[in-house]
Amino acid sequence: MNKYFNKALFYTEKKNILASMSAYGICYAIALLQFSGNFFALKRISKLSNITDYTTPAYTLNFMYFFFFAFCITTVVYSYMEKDKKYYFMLTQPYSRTSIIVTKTISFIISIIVPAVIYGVISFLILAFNKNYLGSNFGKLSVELFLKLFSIIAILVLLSTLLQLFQMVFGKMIVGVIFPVIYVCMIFLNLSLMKNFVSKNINGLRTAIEYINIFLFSPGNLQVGEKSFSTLSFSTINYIDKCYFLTSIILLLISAILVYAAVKLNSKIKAENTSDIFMFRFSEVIFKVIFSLTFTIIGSLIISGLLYYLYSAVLGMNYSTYLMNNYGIQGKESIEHNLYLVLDILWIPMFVFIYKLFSKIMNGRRIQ
Amino acid sequence: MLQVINVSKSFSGKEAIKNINLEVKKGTIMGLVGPNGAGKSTLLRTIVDIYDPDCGKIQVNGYDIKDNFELKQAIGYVADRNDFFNSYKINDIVKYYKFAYKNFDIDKFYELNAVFEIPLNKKLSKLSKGNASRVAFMFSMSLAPELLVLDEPTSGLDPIVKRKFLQLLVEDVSERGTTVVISSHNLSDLESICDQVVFLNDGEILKDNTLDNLKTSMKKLQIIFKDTAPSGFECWPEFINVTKLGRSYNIVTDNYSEELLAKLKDNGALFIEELNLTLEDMLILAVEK
Repeated sequence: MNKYFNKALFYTEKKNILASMSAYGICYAIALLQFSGNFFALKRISKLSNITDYTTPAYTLNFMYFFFFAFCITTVVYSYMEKDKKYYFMLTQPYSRTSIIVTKTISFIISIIVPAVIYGVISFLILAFNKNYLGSNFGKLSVELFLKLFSIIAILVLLSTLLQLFQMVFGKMIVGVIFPVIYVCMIFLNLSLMKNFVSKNINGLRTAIEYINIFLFSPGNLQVGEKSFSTLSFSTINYIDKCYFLTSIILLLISAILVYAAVKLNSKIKAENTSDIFMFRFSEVIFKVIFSLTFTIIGSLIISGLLYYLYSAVLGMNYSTYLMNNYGIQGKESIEHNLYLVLDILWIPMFVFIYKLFSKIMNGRRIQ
Repeated sequence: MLQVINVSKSFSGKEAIKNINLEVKKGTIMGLVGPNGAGKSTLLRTIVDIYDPDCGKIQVNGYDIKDNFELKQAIGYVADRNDFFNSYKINDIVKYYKFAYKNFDIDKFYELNAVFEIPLNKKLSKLSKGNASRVAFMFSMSLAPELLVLDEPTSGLDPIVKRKFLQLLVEDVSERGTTVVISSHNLSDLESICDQVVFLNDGEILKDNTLDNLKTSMKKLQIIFKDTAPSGFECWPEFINVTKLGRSYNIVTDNYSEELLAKLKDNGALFIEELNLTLEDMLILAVEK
């Protein structure tokens, strides 16, 4: 056990656990007030059949609300301690590197589970004391409550472990917080921009980006392609609402994989790098790839836009209108997608060029 | 007890310590001295497993220190910066040590605090640098360590506390046979307690010897010749520094022996006076050689 869990380390996490628990506690308290307020108000004025669907304890727990809050709090808690100071001390202490991560993860999980259990118990008691009023709905509401709590715990555990993994990659604390957020924003930005400018001539890529966009922009939803009237149309299903339990188990499994990855990365961390921006060579490569991709996409679209307006000015009319007048809707679309194809092909050498330029600038700065 | 075997460590391509080999026997106080940037702190941090060496290994009692948490139970380390527990009260740090170390002796801690008089209800961040160093030293001593690694422990201490500190250290070594590795710029302190001294410069060991041997082999000699000094005298390989004042020569040798005295007399030395060097003189001469 000593290799994986350490009481002394857990003791140093005490303040962080209490801070996280208080933050989550505030969320649950708001949700509880909202639920109980609605429940008792509607109980007074309505019949049971009208209220069961939307005033359950589970309903008041909003996923996105927790996503945001958990992310902020965990980030603040993590920022609380300076990484270099922490590592320089911890590496001299009688516990393994593995126990540093595992103990931290356990303390995260405790700070997530305890408030959730308290919320669950109080909500359940409210339901239990109104069992006669709820009748046959009591069982359904109770099961729904605990399933949703379980899925929230799973999501928060995943978020915490993901953040822990990000923290492993970047040395400087503020950078360790800002960079992952910038990365995610840039990936979203690139995908949403690319979606409109990938040519239909490379339909596989266009469809893949479509899928990824739906997955990322609408968490919990999955897009399903359906072929009807010889065209492919998409419909969205909400997989979280459909199967709380299974989704939660999958999220917890992913969390376990992330913890394992964090343990492996932690064993490779060099104390002297903890004050650098990039603690590993690969984190610098990822940074350069995402930055170069963003520059490529945004740069090429700005240039394309400028060329479009310049050519429109030369023609004396909007280029789209010109195409429409001369070739019809089908022809316009076909020409546009051929132009997009040229742009898409140009992205490859442009990306390589910007990546190399970026590497050269970074190396130059490093030598100075 | 402690073995440093072929250890090198570099940062951004610059070697901070180069191929270091040294051994410290049980119950020995080893002083690590050298100018700023010589690699002392790097070597100490490598010894306590903060830095992972590029090559070579550190062994304590024959076991590799790397991620060896059982071995670290027996190692006390006082860093040059002791600010991990800044937001903790001393009483809370006591609780941490009770959890972390099986052999943490709370009575010993209170005994030491009776000497150093640190208010236990104060946060570490509210203490001065000297007091923070005292706290770190008290905790390390309370572990009953087999190996104690001290990086500039006396910096920031007033002379009265410094004397108490050195006295406690020597007492612990004589009572329990603790092995101590200590680095300091205060060489007169080290001179009074060290058994073994290692001179480090530019990441390399210049000298590794017992203090007694160093004092015996490194001497300042004042020599007056009957006539003139033999030709090439100033370039004798035994000398590390030669200055001439009229007929008198002041030389420093790191190879003092009866043979050298005989050789000087054979070459016409009329008067030879031996003067002992301080550790500070030895370091300066060794670095400037």
